[in-house]
Amino acid sequence: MNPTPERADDALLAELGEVLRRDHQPPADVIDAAKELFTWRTVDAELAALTFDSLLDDEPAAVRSTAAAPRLLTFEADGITLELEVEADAGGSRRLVGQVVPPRAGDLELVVDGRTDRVPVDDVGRFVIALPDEPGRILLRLTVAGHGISVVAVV
Amino acid sequence: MDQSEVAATVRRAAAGDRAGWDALVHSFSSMVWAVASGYRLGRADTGEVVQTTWLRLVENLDRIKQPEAVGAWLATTARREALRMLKLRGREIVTDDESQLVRDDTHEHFPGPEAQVLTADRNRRLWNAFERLPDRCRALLRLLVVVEPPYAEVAAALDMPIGSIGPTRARCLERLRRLLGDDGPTDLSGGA
Repeated sequence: MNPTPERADDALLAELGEVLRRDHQPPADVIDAAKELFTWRTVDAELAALTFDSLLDDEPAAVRSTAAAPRLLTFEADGITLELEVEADAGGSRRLVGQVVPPRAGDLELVVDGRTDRVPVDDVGRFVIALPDEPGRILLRLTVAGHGISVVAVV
Repeated sequence: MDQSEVAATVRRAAAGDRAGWDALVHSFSSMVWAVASGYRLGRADTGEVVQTTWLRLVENLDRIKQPEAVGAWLATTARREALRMLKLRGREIVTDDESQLVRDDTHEHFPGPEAQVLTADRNRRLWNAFERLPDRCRALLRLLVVVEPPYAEVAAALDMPIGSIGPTRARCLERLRRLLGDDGPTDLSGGA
């Protein structure tokens, strides 16, 4: 008796599954790291949610000009919005320009690879801080109006 | 986990229950990894995409509107994080249309530990054939072996209507069969 095409497909997929499972399991360190992220829930500072990224959310026509246009990101937490702009000069140096909305003075820490830099957030809620030349994951710790907000971005 | 268990687990995690979070990571890690692996980002960046995807869930645990559909939410998020990484790396985004994909670039085979593990001839040929499939087919099949029906996560990960999954699956498996044939005589009924 010949198997139906559907049966044959199921059998081939099952066979492929056996092969793929050998090296398509997520590595243990990746799973452990994902579990560890839950500690963010217990940190005092609220973790802001990414709500806009010009890299992904712009209209297709605008995306084509990303080489020239600065990258814009928006994070939101606890009634506070953080607008971020990644600027690069001709020499390749990059900096992050931020705007806290509504405007609040405060402090900002940038943590990259365990190194921390600090700058003030001025009276109109703006700050400027240097970024590493290479894109990567950064952590921002913003303290305004007495509460802390954490932002994790890949910029 | 069925849908009501998933929803309850999301709520537990949102309320601060670490065991609930661990259960979510266990249930969906293979799927998230499979989605992120579909973009040829390399080991480090694939891990980064997975990490960022889970971080987005931490950020949004309180805001998820349909906790029972958190799998599809994770799949969509993993796809978006992978696309973000591709753009950051300045790479072209592959076309989403399977019919437009003709994969004729000479693909380098894995000489690494993966290949050494696959000692059985049949498995090696299956692996080689899989590696020569179009990206879209590889992504679909990689998900179908880790996701249970009705494939909401697959649809979300590939931005594809759920009704297209069946026909695309059949086309991709047919391609896989042809590629296996190219590799020499093939006995589909044997070897398992």
